Amino acid sequence: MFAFQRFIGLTYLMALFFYAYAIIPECFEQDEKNNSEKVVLSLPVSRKDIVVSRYLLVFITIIIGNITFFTLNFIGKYLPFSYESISVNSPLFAFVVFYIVLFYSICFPVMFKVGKHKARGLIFVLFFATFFGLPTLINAITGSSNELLSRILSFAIRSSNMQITVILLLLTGLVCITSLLVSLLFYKQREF
Amino acid sequence: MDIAVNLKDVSKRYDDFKLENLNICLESGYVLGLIGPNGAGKSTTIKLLLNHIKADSGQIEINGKSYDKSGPSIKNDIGFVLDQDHYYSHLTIRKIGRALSPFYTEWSQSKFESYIERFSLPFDKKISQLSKGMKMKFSLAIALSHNAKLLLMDEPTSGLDPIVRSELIEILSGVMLNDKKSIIFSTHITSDLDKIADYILLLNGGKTLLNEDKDALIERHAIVKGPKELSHEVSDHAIGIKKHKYGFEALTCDKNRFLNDSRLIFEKPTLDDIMLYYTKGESRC
Repeated sequence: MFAFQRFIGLTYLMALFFYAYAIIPECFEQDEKNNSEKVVLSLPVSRKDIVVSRYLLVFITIIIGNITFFTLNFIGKYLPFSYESISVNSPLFAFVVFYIVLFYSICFPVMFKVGKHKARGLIFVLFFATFFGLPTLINAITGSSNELLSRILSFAIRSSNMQITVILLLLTGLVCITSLLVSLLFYKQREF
Repeated sequence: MDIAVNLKDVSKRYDDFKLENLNICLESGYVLGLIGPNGAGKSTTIKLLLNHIKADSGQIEINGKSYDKSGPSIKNDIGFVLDQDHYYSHLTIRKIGRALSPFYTEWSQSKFESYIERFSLPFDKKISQLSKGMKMKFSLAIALSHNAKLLLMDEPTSGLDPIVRSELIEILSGVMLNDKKSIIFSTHITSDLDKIADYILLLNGGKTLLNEDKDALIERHAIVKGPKELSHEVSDHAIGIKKHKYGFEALTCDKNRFLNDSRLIFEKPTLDDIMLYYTKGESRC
């Protein structure tokens, strides 16, 4: 259960989150810095392809981030100092995918609407909310006496790892598709 | 007769600017010079042609296809040179060529390499290390490497020294001779168009002031110079008039009216004269 291994889980989440944060907004940043969006829009590619490619980038980053993480985790076992290997179960993996996709699903429509530079305030707030807010939020949820939260928690405890994984991945898909449609709507109307 | 670019009553409105009822009909193999002062609507026209912005009304066709019906594949036939450097500054010429090649159905790597060599560009230099003239030549090499039928050039010579500008015009003249491409060349340096333009479209404040054959345009107009006392008579038939201490200088499109007056001197106008008089005075032609 990911809730019970939250500290280990947070290390994994933060590692993947920072990795994605170092790559994805930077791609937008480079495009804006070099004014390259004008070149891309002058090529025989549709605006839909441009938007979809950004969402694919999130998933590619998650895959490469996981490969890097598990490789380093594996190497860590053979290092001459004490290293506690991090084991990641499927619900934790699904939660990390969900969280990173949720983060960019909120940021992307704004970035496609106004550009990365103007959306940096939102990215900054969400970034620090993840950094400081998420551990607090997880603690608050696990220690909360709120009825709804208790029900969700007890549902999570009763459910199998596979059920939680499937629910989280379905939620990821739903969030991603909704965000993609909004981004498409914004980007198709955007003028350069 | 193939039509490379066909714009019918195209309008685009912004809060502080409106491009009104723009009409362009450019046959394949010809060069249209798009001239006008800053803010005239030249870049807006290029953006409309590249589908960077959508027209509020009117019809845009490139090589007989519209973006609405044919989508972005139209851009396979368009080579573009934009007013600024828009390529990733940390990449080399070779890497950008490699990155762009999969986008075009008719990209020719050998053509690209031959243009890079012909323009004396260093393959392994980063874009940030190139001079403005080199960056412009690089953009042109990209534009010419995928068999584009139409070249759109947005102020390509702006900020270049006269030697590089003349070199660029020479290259374009060569392209026109060998490949028979159509070119829309936007500039406010009208002398760039003397050698290569077939047609001239003069814009000012989003309105079309002139749209015709360049040679006919120059032939039709004349710079008239004369003594002060004749300035009133000429000004009624002039597009614009400049008075000075010893007399006046005016642009007219009705020179036959004054040909018999020996006190007047007639000169052939440059495109610069035509643009200046038309944009600063009310047109009566």
